[in-house]
Amino acid sequence: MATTTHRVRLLRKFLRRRSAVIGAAIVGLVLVTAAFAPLLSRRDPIEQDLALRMRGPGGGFVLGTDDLGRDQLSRIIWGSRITLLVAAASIAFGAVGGSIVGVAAGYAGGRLDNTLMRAMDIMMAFPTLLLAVTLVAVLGPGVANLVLAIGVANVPQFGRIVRGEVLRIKPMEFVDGARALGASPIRIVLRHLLPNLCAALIVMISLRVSVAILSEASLSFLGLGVPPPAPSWGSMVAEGQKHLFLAPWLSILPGLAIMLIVLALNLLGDGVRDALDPSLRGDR
Amino acid sequence: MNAAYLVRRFLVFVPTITGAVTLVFIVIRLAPGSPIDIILGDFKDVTPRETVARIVASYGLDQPLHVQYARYVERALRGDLGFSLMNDRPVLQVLAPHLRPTLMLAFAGLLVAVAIGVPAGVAAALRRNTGTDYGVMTFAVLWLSAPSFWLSILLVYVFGYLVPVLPMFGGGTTGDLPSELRYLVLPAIAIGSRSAALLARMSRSSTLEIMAQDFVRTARAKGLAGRVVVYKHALRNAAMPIVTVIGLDLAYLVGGTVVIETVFARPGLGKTLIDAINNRDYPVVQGCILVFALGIIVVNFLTDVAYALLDPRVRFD
Amino acid sequence: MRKFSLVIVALLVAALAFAPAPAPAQAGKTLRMGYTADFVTLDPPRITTMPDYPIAMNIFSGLVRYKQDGLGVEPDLAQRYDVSKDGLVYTFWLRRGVKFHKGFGDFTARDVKYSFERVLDPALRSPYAPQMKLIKSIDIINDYQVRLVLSEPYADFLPAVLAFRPGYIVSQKAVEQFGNQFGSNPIGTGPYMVERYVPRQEIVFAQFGEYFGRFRAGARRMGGKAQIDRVLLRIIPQETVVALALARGELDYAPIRTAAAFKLIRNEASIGHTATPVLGRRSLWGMNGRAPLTDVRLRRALSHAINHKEFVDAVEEGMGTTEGMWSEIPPGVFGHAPDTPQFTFDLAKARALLREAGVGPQTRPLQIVFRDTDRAFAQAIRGYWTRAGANLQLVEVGSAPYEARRVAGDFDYLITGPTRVAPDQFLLPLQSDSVPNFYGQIDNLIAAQRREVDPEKRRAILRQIQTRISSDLPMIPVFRPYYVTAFRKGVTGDVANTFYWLWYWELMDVTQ
Repeated sequence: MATTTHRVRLLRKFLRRRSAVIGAAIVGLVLVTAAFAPLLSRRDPIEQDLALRMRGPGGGFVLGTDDLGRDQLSRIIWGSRITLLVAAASIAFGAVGGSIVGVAAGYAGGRLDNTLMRAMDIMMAFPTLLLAVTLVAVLGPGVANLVLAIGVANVPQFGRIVRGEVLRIKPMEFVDGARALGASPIRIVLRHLLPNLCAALIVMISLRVSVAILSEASLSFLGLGVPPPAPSWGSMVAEGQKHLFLAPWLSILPGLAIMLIVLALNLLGDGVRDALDPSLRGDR
Repeated sequence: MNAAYLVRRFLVFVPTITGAVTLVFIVIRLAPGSPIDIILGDFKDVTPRETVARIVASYGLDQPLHVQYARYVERALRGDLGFSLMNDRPVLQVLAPHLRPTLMLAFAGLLVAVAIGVPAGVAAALRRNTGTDYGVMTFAVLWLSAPSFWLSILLVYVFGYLVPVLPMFGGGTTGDLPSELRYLVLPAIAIGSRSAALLARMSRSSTLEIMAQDFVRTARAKGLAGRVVVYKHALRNAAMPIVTVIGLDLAYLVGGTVVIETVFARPGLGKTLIDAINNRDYPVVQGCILVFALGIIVVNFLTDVAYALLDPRVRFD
Repeated sequence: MRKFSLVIVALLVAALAFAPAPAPAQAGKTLRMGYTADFVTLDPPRITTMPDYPIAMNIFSGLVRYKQDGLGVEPDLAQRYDVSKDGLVYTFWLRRGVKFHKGFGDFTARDVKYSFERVLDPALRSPYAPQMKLIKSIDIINDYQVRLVLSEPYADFLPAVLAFRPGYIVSQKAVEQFGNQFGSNPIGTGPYMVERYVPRQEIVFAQFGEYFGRFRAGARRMGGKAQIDRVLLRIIPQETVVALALARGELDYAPIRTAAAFKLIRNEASIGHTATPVLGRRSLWGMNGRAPLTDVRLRRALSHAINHKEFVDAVEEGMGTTEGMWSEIPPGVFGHAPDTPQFTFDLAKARALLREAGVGPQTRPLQIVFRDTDRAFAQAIRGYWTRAGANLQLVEVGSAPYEARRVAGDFDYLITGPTRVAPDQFLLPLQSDSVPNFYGQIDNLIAAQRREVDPEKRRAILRQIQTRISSDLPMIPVFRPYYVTAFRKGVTGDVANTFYWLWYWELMDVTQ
């Protein structure tokens, strides 16, 4: 269990990495943007004004307007909400689902462990994006299905890490002690295992959020994600594509936004991993 | 390496293949509604009755689940993946012409990744903490963060439009290799750049690790020129982790073709999958995913073989 | 490391080894054409979509064909024909010595009977079966004479059925040989045939050497024979890229259907283009038999909410007009009534009518179903209608589900824009036995104009019908697009596209 001094030490370790701090700052900035989107944007992100269409960046519109005269800046600002919401919800789904699978497999062991892990391995054989595309193909487009698809695609990643941690913690003395005192398995899991999984989960979450954002952007770009007219960064890139030669900013700017948040999360994730557990390595 | 080893290695993948086939079977039954409704979807009202009957029969949809599964596996083993709802052609026949463009893209992407990533990483390690090092590492971090579809659009804009040196979209004239290769350049860069960035990071750190080891230091002390030492000793030893990354990444590359082929309108499996999804052509969707799954499993197998080739510690017997 | 490179090289070689044989070198004139979609089927009675039809036009011929302006028909596979006074008996004298493509034999009266009866085959599920059912009997008088007897007179029988998709003559032998693959192995009697087909990439058409030739004005100008030996149809999904490829001389000719591409070619000096108002209009078909669309006030409100002029200038980049769009039968087609009711842009009126109809942001969202090519169209309409106070939901679908939803009537509003040439073709979908719940209020009138052989009497009924439709608004008109073709300056002949988005390669020429 982390004591106050331990936490301070971790924080110091984290702050020593300049790139991680920059990443954290950008992520913070995007969070603030998403939270205060209505205050920050001058115009409604889906309100069209055909008289003002296809304005270049600069002038009255900082980032220009699209083919329906919608303000690009407002759309990018509101788009941060969709991006973060889908990423957060799907990672939450993946983390919770993965924890249940991982704890069940690790704690119960035996055949259940074998079956679950075999299933996880098979799912991991598919790249996250392909798995998500497959699921969306069956479920149909829409925000809820998007979250479900990306979430499910993340379950095995979390499941495997959690199981490993459970196997590491299970033989420890305090768990044995609790069992000897007659604690129920549920109580052991909730009181003793979960709190000790936190470090691993946090590291994993910090690494997987950026993958989830890229998945959402890719699916929306492919037309399998957030339906129009909602401003998703991925679909903004796709919609701008047909005007690429005359108005390149329509595709390039929202893509830059995706790159910025993913970059920031990657830097942050590396920092968190190094601070909490240098031995953990993220993979896709 | 002997044949028995290969066979044994391959047997390890049998459960995975079975699992993947099963997963595809389950996925199509995840959605609410009866399987025939899902398979036909929007086509329900326009599909000829004979076709409906044939689909019901071929999937055994009127049978209990385990019979359906058995029949599905049996047909899949025979290469019978059903018929496309769009044009009634056998799924395998629909997919076959798209296999080659996708394979070409994945391998060209890998080539780009290795050709750029490994030398860049080694160079960064040799010139540690110099401008080269920082430059390479900054580029790597940026490229890892850029969505591939966006990178593709940038490439198209710059090399297809501003400085029109390369074709922007399509797959070139089928069968005409120079034309196909020209059309391959931009997609290959787009799909390989992420792996190049990963490889650059990986080869930098493994080169640094090896260079700190005794035998390299000894060799250097013996007066061998720095570069020769690195290439003769360090690189050979750094190859292992690099192959691991390549193996992991080839699977990613195969999955990434879905996006890249759509942006570049390349007539490959990934584009076929997306088109089939948009047209709710579920037999084709199912077939595509199955082929992708098998492809990824084969890639994993090849990685294992490459691993064995490179590492004397992996026993062949 | 060396071993490792070997593995990579081996894999690459393995990938390349799959290469099919390269295309043979081609002599003669080739027209390189850009096209945004692959075809679904080239089997004439199964064609329902635009990308398939113009291709099929160059492969198949019917007993009669449209005149070049699309208005009226002239003999094609028939040398001449005769229609009885009561409009019930059609006799055709067929052209002799006509051959099917690729050695599939001679064309005779038997092929006519086979092709027409095939449309009725329930397994084919042809949407044109109801029209074909009008034929009571097909009598083969001899190999080169055939008589069709209708069960009731049908004024538009020639343009709406025989010159249209269901009227194309197919080879029985080929249909039997290819079975359900006939759609990608079409065998007809037209000037071009499919030589090579790489799905979603390219289709190569070769001139049919034994083509019987058509004797219209354009063909004579071309020396009575098709000049273009080969057509390379390259499928490029992004139309702006098609436009750019034209500008760079990588393509010769392309139909242009999207505003973004139109804007590009208009600014390009090296590309010529033609623009002709279509025979039809783009509109939103409503599910008018289902609440809340049953209320005509709602439909009128939605029409008042659209700023049509602004829409054409902005969303369509001026690639169309609002002129003549308020009547169901467009100007130029027989029976067009220019003075039907119009519900033009008036936001205040739209809001008031919506309130009256009790429709607002809280009512069930209306689903607008559309294809991905209409994404800007759909969003703009959504913008207008939301501003007036309606609640909308956009549903983007692929072209096959779109077609399926259209047939099944699974939408509140559907963005569509059929273009036709005969008055009856425009009215068919409005019958109650057509798209369920679409309209079906004027079956009697539609049937009456169909049976009317006297042109003036028929014109009066058509006027009545159009007035009724315009005030009921089962479909909400948005604008009339232009048919646009764009071409490199080396392309000559009949490059313009005047109806049905069609082109005739046999009437064009190209210099490389």
